[in-house]
Amino acid sequence: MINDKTIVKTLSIVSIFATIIVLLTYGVSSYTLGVSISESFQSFLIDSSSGESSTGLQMSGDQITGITIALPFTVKNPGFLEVFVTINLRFLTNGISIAESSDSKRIPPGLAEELRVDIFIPPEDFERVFNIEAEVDFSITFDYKTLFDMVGIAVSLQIEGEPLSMEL
Amino acid sequence: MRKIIKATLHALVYVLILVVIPNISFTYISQSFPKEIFPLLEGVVNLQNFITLTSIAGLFLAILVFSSNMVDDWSPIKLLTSIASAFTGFYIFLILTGLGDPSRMGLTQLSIEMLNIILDFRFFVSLELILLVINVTNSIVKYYFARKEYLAGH
Repeated sequence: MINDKTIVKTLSIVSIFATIIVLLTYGVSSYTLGVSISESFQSFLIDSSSGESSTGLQMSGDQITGITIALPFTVKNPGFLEVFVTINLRFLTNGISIAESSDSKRIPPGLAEELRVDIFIPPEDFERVFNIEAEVDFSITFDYKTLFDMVGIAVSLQIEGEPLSMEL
Repeated sequence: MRKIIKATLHALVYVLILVVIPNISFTYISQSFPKEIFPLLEGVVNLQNFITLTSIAGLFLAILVFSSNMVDDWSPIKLLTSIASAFTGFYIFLILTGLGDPSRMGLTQLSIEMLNIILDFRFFVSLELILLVINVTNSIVKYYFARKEYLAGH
């Protein structure tokens, strides 16, 4: 027979245990997301500013064969949980989507992996995109998720109406 | 006398965590950040509102905790203050995850010119909701048995 005191004690223990679990998962997930985002962007900015050829937006091809725009991005995960990262890159001219590409990967804790987004602009769209008067909207989204993809932070950058230069 | 000391110490912990530390941090941030950057930060998150809301809710929670510790377990005031504390705790969690706006319910969108940041902490709001139910049940059960024992003794 369970007495009153046992029930009260059990409920108190459950309450304390549940509070600790919630705070712990909140702390660990927030730390994992925060440290993963900051480490990835820091190394990306450092590599880009130091002029490393393997980072930043890369362009190849020409007017006849079409242009391939690539964005390699190394995601670091120094956190405690697995991180699921998706990168989405979009180009729009005059409100019409001309090219879109995305890449995603699961990165276990303590590892770093490279994600790569490639966008191909066919020769028939070349004039539309690289025309000096063409307004090219550029949108890039970094979506970080952790704790079985239930918690996340998405960072997106949208540059509107910039004429796209071949010197990118 | 021991009851007052215990109740005061309990309440002081909440005052320290939710009122003193956030206000000192805010003063430090506003003084240490460059004058050009601080208005930009203020444009993204209303820091003053965030700190004020947290402080008010923290003070309210401290008063509830103090009252709760000052009365006996069988008192209806104990039940009411315990339930109110659980709800205030949940509200403070919503303020923290919503960066000053509890109506965001864990989904916060921040915009800095061309940059857009979305923080999705809705899962933790669900967990906190479960925690709220557990804490309220705990308070009711504790009160029920304490009341039963008190009535049996009289």
